[in-house]
Amino acid sequence: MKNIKRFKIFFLIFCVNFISCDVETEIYSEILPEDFFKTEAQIQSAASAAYTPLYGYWAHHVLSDLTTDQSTVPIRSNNGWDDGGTWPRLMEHDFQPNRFYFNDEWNRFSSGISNCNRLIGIFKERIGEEAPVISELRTLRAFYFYHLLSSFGNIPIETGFADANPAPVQVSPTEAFDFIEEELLASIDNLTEDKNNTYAKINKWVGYTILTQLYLNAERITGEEHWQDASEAANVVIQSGNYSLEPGYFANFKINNESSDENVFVVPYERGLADGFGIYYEALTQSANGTFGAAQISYGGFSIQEDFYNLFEDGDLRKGMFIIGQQYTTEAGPSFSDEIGFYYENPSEDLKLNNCVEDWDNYATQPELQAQIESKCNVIITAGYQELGGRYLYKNGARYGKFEYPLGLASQSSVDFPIYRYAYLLLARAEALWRENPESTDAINLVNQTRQRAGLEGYSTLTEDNLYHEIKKEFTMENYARETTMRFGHWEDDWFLRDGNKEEFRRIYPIPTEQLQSNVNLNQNPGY
Amino acid sequence: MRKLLHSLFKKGIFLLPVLVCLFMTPQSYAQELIEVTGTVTDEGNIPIPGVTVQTRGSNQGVVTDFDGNYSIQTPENSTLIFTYIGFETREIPVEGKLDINVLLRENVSALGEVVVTGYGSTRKEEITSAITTIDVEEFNQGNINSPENLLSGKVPGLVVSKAGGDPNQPFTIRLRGLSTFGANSQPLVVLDGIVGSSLDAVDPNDIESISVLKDASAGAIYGTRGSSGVLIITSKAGKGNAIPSFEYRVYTAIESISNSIPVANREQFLAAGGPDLGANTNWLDEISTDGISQVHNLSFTNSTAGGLNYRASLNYRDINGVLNGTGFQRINARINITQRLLDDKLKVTGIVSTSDRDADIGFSQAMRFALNFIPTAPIFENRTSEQLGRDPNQFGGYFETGVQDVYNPVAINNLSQRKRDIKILSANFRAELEILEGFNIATNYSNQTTNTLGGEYFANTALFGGVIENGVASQFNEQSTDNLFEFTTTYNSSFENFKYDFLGGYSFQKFDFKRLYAYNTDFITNEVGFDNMGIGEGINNQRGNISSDRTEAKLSAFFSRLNLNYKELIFSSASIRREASSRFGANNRWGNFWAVSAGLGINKLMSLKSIDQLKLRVGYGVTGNEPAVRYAFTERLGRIGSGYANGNFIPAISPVSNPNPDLKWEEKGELNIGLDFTVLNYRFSGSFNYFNRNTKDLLNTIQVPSPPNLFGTSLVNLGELETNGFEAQLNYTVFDGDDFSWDLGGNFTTFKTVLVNFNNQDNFREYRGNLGSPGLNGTEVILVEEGERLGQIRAGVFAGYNEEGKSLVINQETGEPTTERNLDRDGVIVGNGLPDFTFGLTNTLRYKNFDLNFLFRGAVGHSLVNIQRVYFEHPSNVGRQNFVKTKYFREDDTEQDAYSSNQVEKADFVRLDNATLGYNISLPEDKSITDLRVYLSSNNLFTITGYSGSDPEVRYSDQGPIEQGDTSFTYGGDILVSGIDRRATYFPTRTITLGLNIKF
Repeated sequence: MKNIKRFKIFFLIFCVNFISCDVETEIYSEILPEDFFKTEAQIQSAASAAYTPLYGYWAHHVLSDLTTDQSTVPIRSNNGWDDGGTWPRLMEHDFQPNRFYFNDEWNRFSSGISNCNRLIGIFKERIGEEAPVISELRTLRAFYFYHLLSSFGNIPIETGFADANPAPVQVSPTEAFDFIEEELLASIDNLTEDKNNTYAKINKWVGYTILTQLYLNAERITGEEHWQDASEAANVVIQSGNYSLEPGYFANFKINNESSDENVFVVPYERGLADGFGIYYEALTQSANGTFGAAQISYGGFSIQEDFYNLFEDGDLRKGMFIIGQQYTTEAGPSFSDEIGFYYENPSEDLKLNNCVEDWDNYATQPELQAQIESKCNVIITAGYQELGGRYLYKNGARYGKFEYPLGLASQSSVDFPIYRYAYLLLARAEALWRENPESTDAINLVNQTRQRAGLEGYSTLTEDNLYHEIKKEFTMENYARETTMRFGHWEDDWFLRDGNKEEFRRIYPIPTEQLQSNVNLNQNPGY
Repeated sequence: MRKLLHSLFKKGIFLLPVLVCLFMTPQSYAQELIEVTGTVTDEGNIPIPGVTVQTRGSNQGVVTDFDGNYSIQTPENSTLIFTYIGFETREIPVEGKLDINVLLRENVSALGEVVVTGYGSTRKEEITSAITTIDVEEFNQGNINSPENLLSGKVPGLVVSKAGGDPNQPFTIRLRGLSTFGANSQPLVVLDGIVGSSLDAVDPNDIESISVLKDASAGAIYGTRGSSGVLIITSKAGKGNAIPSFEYRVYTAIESISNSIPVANREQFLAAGGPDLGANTNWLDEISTDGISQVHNLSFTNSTAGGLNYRASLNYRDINGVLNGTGFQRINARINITQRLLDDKLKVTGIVSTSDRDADIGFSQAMRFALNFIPTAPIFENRTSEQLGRDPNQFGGYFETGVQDVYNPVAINNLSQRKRDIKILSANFRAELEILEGFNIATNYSNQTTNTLGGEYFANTALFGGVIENGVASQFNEQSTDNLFEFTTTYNSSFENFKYDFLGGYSFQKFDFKRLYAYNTDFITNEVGFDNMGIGEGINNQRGNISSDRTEAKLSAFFSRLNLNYKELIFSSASIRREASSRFGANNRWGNFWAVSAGLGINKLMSLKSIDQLKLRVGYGVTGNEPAVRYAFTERLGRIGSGYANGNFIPAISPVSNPNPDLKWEEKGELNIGLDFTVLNYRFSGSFNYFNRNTKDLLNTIQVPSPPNLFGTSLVNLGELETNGFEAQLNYTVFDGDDFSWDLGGNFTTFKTVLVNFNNQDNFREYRGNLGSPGLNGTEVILVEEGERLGQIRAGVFAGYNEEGKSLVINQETGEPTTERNLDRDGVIVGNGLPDFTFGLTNTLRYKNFDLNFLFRGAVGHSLVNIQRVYFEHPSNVGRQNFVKTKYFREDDTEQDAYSSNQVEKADFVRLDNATLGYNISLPEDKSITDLRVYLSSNNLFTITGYSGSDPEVRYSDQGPIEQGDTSFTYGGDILVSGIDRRATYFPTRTITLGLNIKF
């Protein structure tokens, strides 16, 4: 056994000399936090990460518009958009906490919050409490908090990062509201007033617009009115003179809309760099590839409800946001103009679009149903919906044409999506003034600005419905529908494919199952 | 850190002590002795080198040289003991003779078998843990292209399976079910001492034996990665006893689709109301072929009198799958050289092998579209541009229907390509030195480098994946290097009635991984594909990208084992491995993995004549698992996309995951109780094992709140899995005569894995296994639930059809049938994706020169969700696609898609996995050819099952809903989901093989 002992000694020498028994590793292709934040460009790059959750803002459309009387997503002729009840239940307000759209919504905004929390902590330590970037991030975080609050009501307010409570606790909607308000008020004066170098970024005017939205929806969220606060906050931006209505409504929605004087805050979508605006797959007919010369076929789900479409008066230039009626092939020159939106340059008889597979062929074994498809294979998009065997045609329902589609459609749009436009400030202020005084002439004048741009006569008096419909029409497809519908008390109305589930608890969405599983301190919203 | 590797080569310090030790000679002593010499031979009169010759009652002994000669100093009246592994021990009294030639007989009983264990080998009778060794005679035959397939159906507790006949898809290997989910669920492979080797590094023809270490008491010596079991592969080494031999083995195989899922033909399609597009195309015939493969294995071997053993081999495989454009070619070369030096006290071994595999992965999606593409459509476009409203040549001239996400199956593989070129270089150097009698030291260095070059190109005319970006090319290059250094020492001795052997060792292993990936689009030509990616314009328009990454990992371990043998009656073994992994934070790196086991030779206590052997074994051990990701314990920043500042896009740099500094080893405790018996004069033997394994602190990616966390999921140690199981293996020699023999073997495995705890929630329940789009998105059919078995399948209970041809399910609230689909309300557990038990049955018959082997393999109790039926067995879809027509088909079905218990089918099966008929041609003694064998073999000759899908094989994991137009490619997937027969399944195949072995 002597040798064994000798061996042990050898062993030790061996470890020290040769291998050191050390398992420290190097990290080659990722950066350690202590090696970053060295240059201005690195700080900017780190801060920009706080904005990337905004690329999911288009997907917010599912819970902001599809649950209202504006948009819809019925089961289509090939049984598409049933997906195990995913979409029908959403439209029926049968909100099931384990559906993906709730968790997506929660993650979208809370990942924005977490990103801001982390960066605020880092910048406080490295640049100091007073750095402008901290105010910028606090304002952005308030925006994310607002949307989380708006959708889910009872949310945790957690601003810490490394040293935070690992399982944050929910607060009441009023507490959350107060927190967001405080954050905005505390940061807003430190924000830059320079609009030109802050495209797609938070500046003071964006800050006031967030505040406007918060106050405008205060009564809905907390029960307490903030109409005057809302009109004042909006007025700060209006009076700044930094923004104005574009003469052509659609200048705000074209591919090169960076030059819009109206857009206050946008998501700078850019195919390949900032993907997330997948409107083409969701909101065009399957046959639209024949119009836009696309190789890939759309899934064709979202469209506009008939009653809502019919609210638009004849002559309303904003109707150019709908793709409806006879459709044509690429040769007919599908185009987009600042004034009238989507149109065909040469819609001639011989260029009519024909497509049998999207609807006609799906009834091949049911000739009695097939016979009811009036236009057969000709693609005529109708405002109305025709039920055939429990399903609806792809060519039913006006389609989304508000955002410019390029020829040879790509799956991701490069239109910068306007989160806030100057028009929002006008109509928000109008609504706030009207709430306080339905006779307010200021309110009428504000409303008439957007109406007149749409080529319509101004109102001389402002009824509740006039105001309600004007807001809804002006911001169609812009993710305001749920808020507006609720503010005007129409959330529990009947509409297409929806006639039940009207309990008040459904005004906020359920806390997603995944989140309940992640945090023992989260409680499901009452009723769910 | 690169320096470290250099130091490995340069310093060579480890050899120094070895050399020092060489000069320490064993002490000798004087006594009245005579010198006895002689030769030891086997029954074929061939000298046996390495036989131990000992004087009884002394520890002194010598070993025969390479000509079988020995010379020993021994007292005149002593007795010499001749022992050699695998041979019967003989004792011969000297009685004054100076010349004693000895004949040793091969030990026919299983008792003498040697089993390769971790870092050594042991006589089978001393084994106290659950180890099964399968050697070359017992391997599966036929068209076997990967080592694991040699074992399929042979080892209780070991599952080697794959659904479908994709030649490039790896097998799922599961030992005793699932015991981990964040880490590796496949067993650790140890190839000639290379821990963690690739299975691709060795050709099946070059394997001598495979040991399967099943329980923790066997695997704990590999502590870290032994949790999912260990496969120890020993490759063939030099043999021949001074007679060089050359062997050539060749076979050719023809493979065809054995089963698909029936679909309507042209007439049935038209009768159901489908459109007549003017042709009659059998799409499956158009995309598939009989795959003809050939395999050659050349080897030569010898062991010379100078102490040199060598074997060199060259393998060539040209494998063609049944789907056009799938298959691989592989060249594998291996040299194994051993040299004995210093009076045989030093043994040095060098093994070098290369493997070069060029694979055409192709697109198995073509198979699913072959089922549902319209049978009246022609392959090539037959309509004019006026009729189409587009250029008829737009899609390379192929007919496309224009239906969303439906693709001409012929076009898929003809227009696009997907290739993998995998090169593996392994080098292994080992030196073993006997310092004293029974005291050995050994060092081992190995390097294995795997280089994978993968490329994909989707033509700019390919509707499937190409046209959308006007051609899409991508290429990646991955290089992973595994450097292993080990030092071991062993000491065998005895003390009174105890025999013991001790193992101590140190192991250091370093892994490097480097990867480069490039993606480009917008190609003006399809001529160059991914071989000239710069042709594409996409990268100049944000439609291309490039990325690379590099990681490393290290393991450092001390290990030790002590085996005790008391009077051949009680055997025991204890081992410990203390190991550090770089994948954990500084405070959690070290883990201790230990095992104890004992065996009792009951037959030695009783003297029952009919019982040849009866042994009870009990063992308990703890093994560990480290995470697959390498730096999860620390915060790292990377590019998470593009941010925007001052009108420009900039890289957004942010953490890439939630760091978890508390991450630690996952630990699995396993109890194994076994009984081995041999009765009826060694004719009937068997082995039973009961096991209980419990994994705690599972490496698990769970949902965490964000904020405060940046991401909604974190890798943590949370959760508990428990498996109870029973395994049996029985072998019976039915008849054993000179002309005829018949051996029968059977094995049986059953186990139940329960998810005891998943996360920090009470009563965790989660639905997974989304059937996916089109049509079935949001249809999650697998329930993962605390306290329950894995693999539960939920569905609404099918209640027939209503008058409109809609299928009904029971509304669980009212008990009434309904056409509504509400899985959350109406779903109940209707089956389980995992089998109740699996079994294998082998028969080996020999009559004169003929031999016949066959293996039945089966699984019972599992169900499968037949998605083909859920989505495609509806004639009302004929406007868009063809329909499936199984025994469940109903003409009056008007559904578009419908999931209920009607499509969750029992998938019990028995398969004739392998049948081989061979003939050994008798050769005259004087011819130089020593062996000549021809054989005919078949894999999957038939399958008996009630399942209506293409393959009833258990789906142990789920690749997820690869959607119709999805061009991505995955093997593996969610291991908590089993039981889903996905739309994109490669059909199973049948192979007939004709082979010839020749040796001279």
